[in-house]
Amino acid sequence: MKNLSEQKGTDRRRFLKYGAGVVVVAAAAAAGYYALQPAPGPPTPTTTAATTLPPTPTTTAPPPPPAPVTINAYYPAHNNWLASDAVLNPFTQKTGIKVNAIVDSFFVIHDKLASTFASGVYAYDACYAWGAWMSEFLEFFQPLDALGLEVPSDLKDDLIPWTRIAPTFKGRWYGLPNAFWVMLLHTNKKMFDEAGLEVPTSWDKFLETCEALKKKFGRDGVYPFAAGFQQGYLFPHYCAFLHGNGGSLWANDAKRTVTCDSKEAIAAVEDMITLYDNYMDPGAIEWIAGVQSGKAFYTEKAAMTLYYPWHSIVATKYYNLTTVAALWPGKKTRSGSGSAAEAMAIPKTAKYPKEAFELMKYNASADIDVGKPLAADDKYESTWPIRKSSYDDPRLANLVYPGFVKLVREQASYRCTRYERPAYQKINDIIEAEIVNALKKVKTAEGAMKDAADLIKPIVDDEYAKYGGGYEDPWDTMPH
Amino acid sequence: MIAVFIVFPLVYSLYLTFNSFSLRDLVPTFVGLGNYFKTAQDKLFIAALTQTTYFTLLTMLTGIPLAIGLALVLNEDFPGRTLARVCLLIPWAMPPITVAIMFSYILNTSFGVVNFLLRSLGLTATSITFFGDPNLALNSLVLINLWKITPLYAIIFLSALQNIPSEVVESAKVYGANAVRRFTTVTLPYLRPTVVVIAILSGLLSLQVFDIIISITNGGPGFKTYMLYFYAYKVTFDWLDAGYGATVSYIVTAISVIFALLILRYRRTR
Repeated sequence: MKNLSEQKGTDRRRFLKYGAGVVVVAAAAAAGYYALQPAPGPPTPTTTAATTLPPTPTTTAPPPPPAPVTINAYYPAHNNWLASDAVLNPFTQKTGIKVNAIVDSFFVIHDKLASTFASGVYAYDACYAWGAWMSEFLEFFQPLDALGLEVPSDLKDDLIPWTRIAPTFKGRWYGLPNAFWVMLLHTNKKMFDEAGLEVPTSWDKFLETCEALKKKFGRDGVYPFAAGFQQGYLFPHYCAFLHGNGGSLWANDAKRTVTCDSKEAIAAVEDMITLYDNYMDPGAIEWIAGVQSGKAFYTEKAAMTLYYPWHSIVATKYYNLTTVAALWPGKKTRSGSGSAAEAMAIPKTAKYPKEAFELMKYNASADIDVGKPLAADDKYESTWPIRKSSYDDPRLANLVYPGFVKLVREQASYRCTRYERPAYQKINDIIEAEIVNALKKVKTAEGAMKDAADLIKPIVDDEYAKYGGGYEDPWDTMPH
Repeated sequence: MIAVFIVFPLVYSLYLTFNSFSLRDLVPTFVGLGNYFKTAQDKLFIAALTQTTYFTLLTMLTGIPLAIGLALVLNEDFPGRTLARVCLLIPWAMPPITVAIMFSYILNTSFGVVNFLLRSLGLTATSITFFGDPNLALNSLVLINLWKITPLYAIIFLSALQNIPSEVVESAKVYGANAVRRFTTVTLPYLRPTVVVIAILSGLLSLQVFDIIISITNGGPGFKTYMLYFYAYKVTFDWLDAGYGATVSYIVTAISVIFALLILRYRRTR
């Protein structure tokens, strides 16, 4: 039994404990309330009524400069040139808009966007999105027409068709594109000359070239071909094989049914298996994107690689290699590739949407567009122009070697569909997993892709019920 | 503090499990037990459950004997024993992400030291893709997990060993019991309560494994290293289905609680 003093102590402790709890909960509730308030708009100027008319001034005072605005712009690390002072300082000098550039690795951006948008707080005025994420996070972006903003007509007409997908959904614009990537075949000229080989222009010739390179250099631990076959960025590579087989990953129906079990889709996986089993480093199954495969190419552990044009720039500039790039050789078509188009869009929580749009227009302007591949070095991965006219710019005529830039443009004239749609991520993850099952002989190519189709069917049905299908494919309107 | 950081998230996520709730639009739609029933037909959930069970059992059944063995060695008197005991805690003290990156280099197919040694010693003709081979990836993760957590269990077992009355061990020696018999009839009975504790700890930590998966394999190759918590993360943040992701999280939690209760009940009946 407690005595009075102990009882008072207990009561006091209980009071402090619960009192502190109430204070914390109240503080948290207040913080949550204020965090959920809509972002304040620009300050409303106040006027006071004057009782007498002011004297007429003899000279007109200049209007006060507009208050400086700082916008938050979110960039992926591989577009870091666009986030650099070299690009942003001239923009600030010209427009008075300061840019707080936030840069993140591509592989963390998706999850960060999911959390940021779900929280509903202000984070960005201009936000990175590529085509698939645009449709995924559509609810959180503002269409330009709702903001009274228009895409410059000269830009619209000048865009490479694949880049239109990035900032649009079913034809409605939410931002502007700022980056484009398309995969090429890169070859090591010195090794080809030593082996007496020419750059292959068809799939059969490509396999013959692989065999010849294997005979010539295989004993030295050099592989004919390198590519990143790890899950996480396998799908864009797969698209190159698929399109080279004349295939498509979706049907031309309203639902955009995924046709990963078509004979072309299966043949593409079989081609990947052929390369992996015979002409690639077994470790390529653990190589993500173009990181290790690029290294293998630069250090001449591989004579050829499939990746974005940046590889030839780095190989030439930093490793003193002479590369010859080529269209990815197709089996049933001359060529086809994998691509990526990226944009910035305006979130609904943006404080300065019009200023953000100015930044987007600047990123898409001719000078910046041409500057993108020119900026490639070991610090800036660099992206590629979104405008057709940029590829004819004389400043790019001799980049890597004369004709290289035109080759990039030519590759983009073949099928490079990336199949952007709201359920892209889940479909992509399933297809990548099953391709790896096929590469590692857990399943046959046919078995793997049929299993993928079974897993994907209910996903597409749900997606169609919610979004109504009809996702755009630039290939439908391109000459072919 | 508890209300804000524990009670509210628990209650809200439980609420989500009864709703179809996507991070695309943040609009909850009541589905009752629909999310729970969905797990029974979800091949990827079943794969994650199977693989988590395999990972947990293998870690427990290998880790506990290994830890006891290490503890027995460290309980003996030998030069450098103190240093050995200190070094034993280094794996446990290292951040999980550091361990993951370290092993991704050690076991790398192209330049990893393990493959280099295997090829140099003529044990293999070609490199082994530890994380790229569906038959090896999960076992490689078990190995990494064991490397990290077994030392801690060994230290706990060592402490238990040191609490065994020495006169009991001595009298067993006097009665002619050899080392194996002393271990089975004297040491092991004294260690039984500790084994129960370590089994629960090992099981719970293994059920919750996430960091080495997200850092090394990201669920691959194929779906081979999909584990329950990783799957919950993937469903929620990659596929934006927060309602279903919350459901998977709750199922893992329920499994963890049932697992702990079963072991405790087994201990009480013994």
